[in-house]
Amino acid sequence: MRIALLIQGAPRTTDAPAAALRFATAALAAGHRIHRAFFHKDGVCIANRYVALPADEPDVAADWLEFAGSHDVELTVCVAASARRGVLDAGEAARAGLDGATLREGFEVAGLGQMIEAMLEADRTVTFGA
Amino acid sequence: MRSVLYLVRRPPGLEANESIEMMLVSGVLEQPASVLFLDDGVRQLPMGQDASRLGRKDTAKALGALATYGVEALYAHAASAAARGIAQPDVKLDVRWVDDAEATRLLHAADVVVTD
Repeated sequence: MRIALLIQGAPRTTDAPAAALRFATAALAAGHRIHRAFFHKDGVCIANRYVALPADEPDVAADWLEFAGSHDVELTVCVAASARRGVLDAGEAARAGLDGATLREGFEVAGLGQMIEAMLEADRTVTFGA
Repeated sequence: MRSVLYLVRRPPGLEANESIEMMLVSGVLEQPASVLFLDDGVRQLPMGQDASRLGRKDTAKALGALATYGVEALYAHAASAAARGIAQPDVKLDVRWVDDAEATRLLHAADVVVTD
């Protein structure tokens, strides 16, 4: 079964991205395929590369990147939601007249149409809210 | 095309507006989309509130754009409104009021349910 994930909760103040990753790992182990992980709302903060975490706090973004690299999963953040929260790739930063990208390598920005497409292509869509 | 039901359970605000953006994109892509306002989600329904007085973008006004984008199947849970002192005639949006059984039927009928 192809599964699309919509992750809306912030990485450090909610459990949404970590729960979604645990779900994705279990789904793969059960023989399913993760079609796309799309981050929206405060969930996009996972893609901010300007985060300095204390050594004893888990880096859920790094965990997601490792998972995505091992299993060929696209990690996409909503372009509008991320721009509002200071997460911009080079193109978006230039368009906004800002100096430098803040998007962490391994994540891509895209419009909400990508999530709708994923919803249409996948057999199941699972939402992880705030 | 797979149908989607947006289940709205949270009060108005930025994240509510971002959910509405997704609903509008569904509409633009001509995906069969419906919206069910449940629990605190009924607080998003327009009742003459003016968020600009709080310096906020108006969620209620954003909901008004749904029909323009082809998202016309709007449902609101009557008991959620009643529990919050919201009178149905005060809601200035063309919603169909549903009971528990109808809300359940909507959730089962959609191919995809997106919660907020």
